[in-house]
Amino acid sequence: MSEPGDNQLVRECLDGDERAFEAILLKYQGPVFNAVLRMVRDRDEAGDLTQNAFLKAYQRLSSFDPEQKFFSWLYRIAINESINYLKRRGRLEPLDGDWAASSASPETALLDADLSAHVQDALMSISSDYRAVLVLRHFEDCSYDEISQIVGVSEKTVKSRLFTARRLLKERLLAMGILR
Amino acid sequence: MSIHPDLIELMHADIDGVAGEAEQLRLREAIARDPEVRDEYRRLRGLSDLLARVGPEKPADDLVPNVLRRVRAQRAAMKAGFFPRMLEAWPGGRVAIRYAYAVAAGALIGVVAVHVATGGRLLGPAVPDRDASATLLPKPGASRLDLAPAGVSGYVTLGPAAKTGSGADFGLDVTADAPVELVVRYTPADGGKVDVSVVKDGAPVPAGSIRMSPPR
Repeated sequence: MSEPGDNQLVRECLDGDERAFEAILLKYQGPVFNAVLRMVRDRDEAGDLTQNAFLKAYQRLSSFDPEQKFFSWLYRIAINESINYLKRRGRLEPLDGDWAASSASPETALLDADLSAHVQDALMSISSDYRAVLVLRHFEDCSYDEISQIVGVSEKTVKSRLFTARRLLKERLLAMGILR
Repeated sequence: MSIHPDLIELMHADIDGVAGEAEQLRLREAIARDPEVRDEYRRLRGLSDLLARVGPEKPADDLVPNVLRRVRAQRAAMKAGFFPRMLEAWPGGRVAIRYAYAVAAGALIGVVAVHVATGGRLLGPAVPDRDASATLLPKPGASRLDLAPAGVSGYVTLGPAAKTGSGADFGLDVTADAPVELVVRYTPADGGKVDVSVVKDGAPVPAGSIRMSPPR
């Protein structure tokens, strides 16, 4: 995912080149928005949180370590922004019954248009720590090492969380009739 | 579930594309041998395929312009110093007007509330009710006795009778919540002296004496 040039763009940003930051925005707005969206579900909130994440990244750009991957650093800000939002909303932990209320029949499960909403319902039924590793692995294609840097835990913990998260999500989707 | 944890880990590694050739071979053998392993692997693979079908969503078109606008505002504030930074934090446009209205209304309500709560002392000394009548000039020749020594807030007045032209008018200007019982003793031999007492707990408490002022 990382492309050569991120560090160069960061340097140009720090030199006051606004176009460099615009280039970063254009490059990462989609991935960051989607990661946040999968974390919080609400599109409008995801848009606001993505904006906040980029603004914070801009404010803290001078503290970015070029030895790190820029997108890992950026994702970390975005995921933390999402988790803090969920904490403020009191939705850090799943609400029992959320997923059950929107259970789909096997027929509707075949429609991609509905699939996204049902998968999102199932995602929201697991805690944000597990959700974060799932989102980063499956929707953002991050490696264990990258997830470890973004979430700030060891690779071993990433694997452990990923296994548990998949088991929980699998159970939810089986119960919803989405997965057989 | 009776699948060995190593095999579970192997399944996840295979799905994540990090299993080596030897590990993959071991997993294939286990899948071929054990139906439970086969079912578990099929479900995990199914989950992964399902998640892969959920496509990315496009962010709103105004996301980039909005972030750039906020970045520019922040940079301008940083260049300008502390005070402009405070202004930057202040909402702009119609939002600011609503804030201003709210602050002004709040201040007005606060002033009125404190004024009422302090009995009107906020904007100057309190004005007792009785002073409303005290602003009227006493009649010529009238005298006034303060009842404060007897513990009553108010006055008695004594002046020449307005209607008959002879005798005296006795006036009372008292502020009280409960009935006030007065004892008035008129002594013609003593220059028309009037002694006034207030009855408290059944006993008269002298407030003082009053005489009509000599005519001017």
